[in-house]
Amino acid sequence: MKQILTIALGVLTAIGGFMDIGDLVTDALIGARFGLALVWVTVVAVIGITAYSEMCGRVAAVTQRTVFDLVRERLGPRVALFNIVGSYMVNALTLVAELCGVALAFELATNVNYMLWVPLVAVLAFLVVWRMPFEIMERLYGVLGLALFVFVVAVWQLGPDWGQMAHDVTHPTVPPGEGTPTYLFYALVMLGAQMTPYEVFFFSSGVVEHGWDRDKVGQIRVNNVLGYVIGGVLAIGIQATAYLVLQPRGIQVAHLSQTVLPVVTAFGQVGLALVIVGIFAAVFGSVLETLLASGYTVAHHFGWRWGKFERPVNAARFSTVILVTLLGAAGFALTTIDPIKITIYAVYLGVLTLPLTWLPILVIANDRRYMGAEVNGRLANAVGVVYLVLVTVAAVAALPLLIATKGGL
Amino acid sequence: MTDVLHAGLDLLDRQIVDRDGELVGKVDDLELTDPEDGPPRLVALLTGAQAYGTRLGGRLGGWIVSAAGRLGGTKQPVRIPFELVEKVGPSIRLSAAVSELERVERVDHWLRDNFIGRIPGAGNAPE
Amino acid sequence: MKRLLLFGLTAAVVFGACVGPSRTDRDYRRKVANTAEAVISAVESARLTADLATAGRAPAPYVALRLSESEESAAAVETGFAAVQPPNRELDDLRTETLDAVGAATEVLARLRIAAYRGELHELREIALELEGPVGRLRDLTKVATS
Repeated sequence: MKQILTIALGVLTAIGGFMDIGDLVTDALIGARFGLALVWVTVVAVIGITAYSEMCGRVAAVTQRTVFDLVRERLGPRVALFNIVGSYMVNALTLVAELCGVALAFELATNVNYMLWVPLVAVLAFLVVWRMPFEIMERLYGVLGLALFVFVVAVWQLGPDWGQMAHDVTHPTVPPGEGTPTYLFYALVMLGAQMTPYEVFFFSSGVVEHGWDRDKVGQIRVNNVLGYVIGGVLAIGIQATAYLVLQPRGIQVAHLSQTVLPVVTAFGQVGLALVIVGIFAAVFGSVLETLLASGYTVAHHFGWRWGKFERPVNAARFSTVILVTLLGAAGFALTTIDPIKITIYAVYLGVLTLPLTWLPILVIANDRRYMGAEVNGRLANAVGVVYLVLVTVAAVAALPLLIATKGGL
Repeated sequence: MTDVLHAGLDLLDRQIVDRDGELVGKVDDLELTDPEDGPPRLVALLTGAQAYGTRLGGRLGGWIVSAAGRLGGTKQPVRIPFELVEKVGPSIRLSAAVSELERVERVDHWLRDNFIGRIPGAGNAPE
Repeated sequence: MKRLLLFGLTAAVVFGACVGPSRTDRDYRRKVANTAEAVISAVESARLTADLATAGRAPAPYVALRLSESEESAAAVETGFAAVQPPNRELDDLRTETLDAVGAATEVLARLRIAAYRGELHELREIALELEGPVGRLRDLTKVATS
């Protein structure tokens, strides 16, 4: 019984971390614009992130080393520095988007402008990272984040033509009026939204901090697969609601309030209340994760003391990076930049950092001197190589595609 | 430690931990002597911003060394004599505690005293 | 080398001038279509919200937020489109037609927002009925780029 509970909690944490403002906005936006034509990308992405998250977790459990620690060891300080600068900046941009996301959730509930909420969210994040017991927080936002499943239930409530939906999922076509480059651009957006870099750093840091070792490898595997699959179901649910309610009316998503319209259509005020709680919990959780990830990125590269359980005074450099990043992100968010656009860019640019981050993981996961018996099996390697090639191709294509489509217009 | 160590693969960029498992830093660079007779000998591990900057090389590296020199008072890297290395593995374990090492963690202490430590609640563990 | 460059440049300018007008013509029509699509999105969001509000399925703060966002979006699109110079006189009529339809829509969106902020949620569906006309005209305008 205790085993099941532990697994359930682990899965909850995985989902809570998985769902962030990037997923929410991109799934709704893509569902409204392309219907179900990019669901296959969600499936592809879930497989990839599950594989690499498992690999990172296994590597961290066996070697007690984190991602950026290993990136530096394998790629050398110069290439690793290039990688962490890129990762840090994308991560910081993501943090801005997540901060705005929580503020927008407050705005949805109160119609008080989101910018007035940004400072409050930043202060809350600071308090949690500084003082609050993190495990309680993780459980809390994991459980409350489940309220987002109102999206999935809404699909049923909206009484769709299941046959038509099944057909549209399995026969993806570019809708009339959209070009193929734009379709590909949004395929990359979808990929980036599901395979967010910070989840992987955060997870590997968590494994080391909780002291999980070889014995926990099986549990890590289960957590990952269940968590990401369930998260994928939620992502598809959000796309489906947008496909059912927004796309037929020609509604494009430019505001968070539009992403929840299908839920309000299905369930009225109760639905709205649930979805706001869900958004708040999941996105606030992501604020914490991206914030800590910014500290991990730098501290692991330079070998500083780090840890979310540490007293701030014991890991002063790590804490300084976190504080400065939080202040910077909050400041940036307050410059009235469109939060939806920031979200899309953060998600898209995340793809660029994946190849150099994942390559060392794949290499170490195959190194028997580090991994012993837990070295990659044939399946892990097959999937790992395929996805490394995929994200490299995506990263190379990302900037040209961005320019060619003028940012997905 | 009679096995052959390949300095590049087995030492550089590894995490250094002290006697109690506390993180000390990374092996940013190595100090070797070059005697007239015989091969170069490994004398010390170098860690910290000065060593990192030297290792990076180029303009960026040079800039880091000067900046570290200005802030830390010297451009000399932080040395950990090789005699203190107890075990070489995924991380480099020392036989000394971090508090016994010279000049390690000065930046950390400075930030603690002048910045982080002044924010309320910083001395308490989150858990 | 210099003469080749000069020749190439002249050819490019001449060629560009020949292809020019119809290319800009197509661009302008596409701009009209995009403008119409953007306003339709704002309008349909507003209509859906108005229906939900009148049916009591959406709370006042959310309704007011959603409607004011629709109004702002449509107004921004309107301003943006009005500022674009039509490439030739033949397209002036298209410009007027577009601005008329968009303007009619933004006027109703404003009235929806005002009513929502006054808490008159039950009136919203009725006001939203006046969006039918503009939406129809806007849907026709989305097709001008392909004609």
